[in-house]
Amino acid sequence: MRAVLIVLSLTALLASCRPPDAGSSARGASAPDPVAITIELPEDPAVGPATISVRVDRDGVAVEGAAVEITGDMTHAGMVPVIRAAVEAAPGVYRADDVVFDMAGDWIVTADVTLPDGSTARQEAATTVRRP
Amino acid sequence: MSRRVPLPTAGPIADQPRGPDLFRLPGLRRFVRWRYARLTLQLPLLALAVLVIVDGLTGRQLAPRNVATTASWLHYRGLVVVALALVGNAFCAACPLMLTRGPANAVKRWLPTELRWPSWLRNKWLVAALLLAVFFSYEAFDLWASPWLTAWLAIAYFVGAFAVDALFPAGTFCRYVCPLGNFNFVFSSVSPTQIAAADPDVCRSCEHKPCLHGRETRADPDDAGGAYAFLAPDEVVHPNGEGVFPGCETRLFVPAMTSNMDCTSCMNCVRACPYDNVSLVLRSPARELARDPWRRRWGLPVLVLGVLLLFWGLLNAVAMVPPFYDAAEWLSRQVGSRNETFLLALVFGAFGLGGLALAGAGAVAADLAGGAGFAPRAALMRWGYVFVALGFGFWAAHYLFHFLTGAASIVPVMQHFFEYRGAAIDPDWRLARWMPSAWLFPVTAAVSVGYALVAAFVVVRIALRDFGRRGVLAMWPMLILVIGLAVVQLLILAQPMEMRGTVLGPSF
Repeated sequence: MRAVLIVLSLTALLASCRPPDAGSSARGASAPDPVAITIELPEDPAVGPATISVRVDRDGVAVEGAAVEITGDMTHAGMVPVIRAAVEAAPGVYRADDVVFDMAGDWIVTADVTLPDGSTARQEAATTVRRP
Repeated sequence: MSRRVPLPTAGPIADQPRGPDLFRLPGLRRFVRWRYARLTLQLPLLALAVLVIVDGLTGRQLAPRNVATTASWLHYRGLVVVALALVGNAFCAACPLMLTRGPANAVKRWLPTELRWPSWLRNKWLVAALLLAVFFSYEAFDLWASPWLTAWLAIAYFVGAFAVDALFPAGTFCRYVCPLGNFNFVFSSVSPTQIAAADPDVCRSCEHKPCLHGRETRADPDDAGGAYAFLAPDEVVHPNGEGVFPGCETRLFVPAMTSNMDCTSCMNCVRACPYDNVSLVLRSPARELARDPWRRRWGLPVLVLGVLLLFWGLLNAVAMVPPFYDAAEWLSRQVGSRNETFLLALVFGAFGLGGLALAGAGAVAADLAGGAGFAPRAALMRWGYVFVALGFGFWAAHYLFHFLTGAASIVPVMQHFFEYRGAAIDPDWRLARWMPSAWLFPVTAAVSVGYALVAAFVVVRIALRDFGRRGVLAMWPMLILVIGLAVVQLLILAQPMEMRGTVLGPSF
């Protein structure tokens, strides 16, 4: 009976879990709160190259000199991610022109930002890529 | 404990393959007869299952980066079909769910009585329903895209195995409940190996049938518990230690086995046999299905399950190509609903019932062409095996496609597991691509065509066996059906793949 109670307790404990937030991670947790990351995706993305912009603000002020890496993942395991470094196109705006969506379907675009002070932040955005 | 099983007094006990015995490979028999052989296979999968649950519940909720979704939907499924095609039901042999058996037995001691599995559930209908629930949930809840739900599915399997085997006799979960195991049971019918008796005469003279009922071997008879037949160490050929050696928990008797159905490859029989008389023989992938193996033991339910698996496999594959989304939009307009669960239910119903109708029509047409009367049930019982071979080709091609696409991704995914938890590791995602995309179609098409040929061979064998000369006529309706379904499979494989979480419109 003790074993049954232990199993039921563990099940109840696990049942109280919620999935972790999409953008959370050990890296993301180190970002200071006021940093806002906005991922700007193409309006109607299709299979092929796309331009993706990332706006980084802190307390409403554009953050210059950050390092931004953009990653595109499909939502199915085993798919190779597309990883591109974005370049600063304007103060606080970082752009990658060659993010290639190589398959139609659901994609998660992640912006990993390393701020000039070394802290990091992460933001995710989802999109559906249509056939060409 | 043991009871006598009447056997023929002469000649073969059952129609078993007589191919080479794989246990003659150096070291293999010795390993399998070792009492901890199965545990050795189970522990790695248990460790992986723990990682699946931990990362699924606490890791990054991005399927290609998470151990739960990658190990479950890419590697497990891919390696299952590879093992079934090349070896046999290896994953049931290494099943970590059976490690709940110890705790289940402990709980069982506290219960007033062991329940009996209801007689109306001693068939494969419940398994068919549970498989449908898993396949439907996979599509409806996008299990492939959710590490969190995948982890919960793994937990549910462990809890289910524990609960069923705590309340009911050992082996009940494997035989009557486990969807994964029964998927493997059905498709291990095309595996190239089978457990068989090395010398049927040894089985004939065997008093206790330990392969079925188990045995206990102790140096001192007074130490024996009495629940199993007692055999002293000097009665055991090639002794493999002292202790209790359980028999087959799914109630298979080695010299009477003509099918891999219900065989978990646990090798209890090999360890329990005091005469070391159990073989793992090589056989043709078409051998079992061409010999009507399920008529006596399982009958219609397992053949219906085989047909359903074929058409659910077709649906599982077609749900990833553009024409399916166009058809779903059309269906949505026709029924005036954009409720995805409702639409999926319609699609599953259409594939299941439509598939059964198509298979039944083909079987009846073949019977009529062969001169038999109009008897749909008998026709499906005769020809249903053909769809099992074809169905394995469908599942194998689909699962291999995903596996070959990203088999090596387990390396960066494991790197990511530790990076996510603070380790200074930079996952190398370039490793994820394992096979050039251009090779995927030829490889998966070859698998599909290969098992279509197995299915065609089964058609010919059944036709000639049951209809004699008229078999030349009887085989054609089924051959046309096999060719047609194989072509549909090739057309699906040739489509550009699309991975969407919804059947209608954009997901986000």
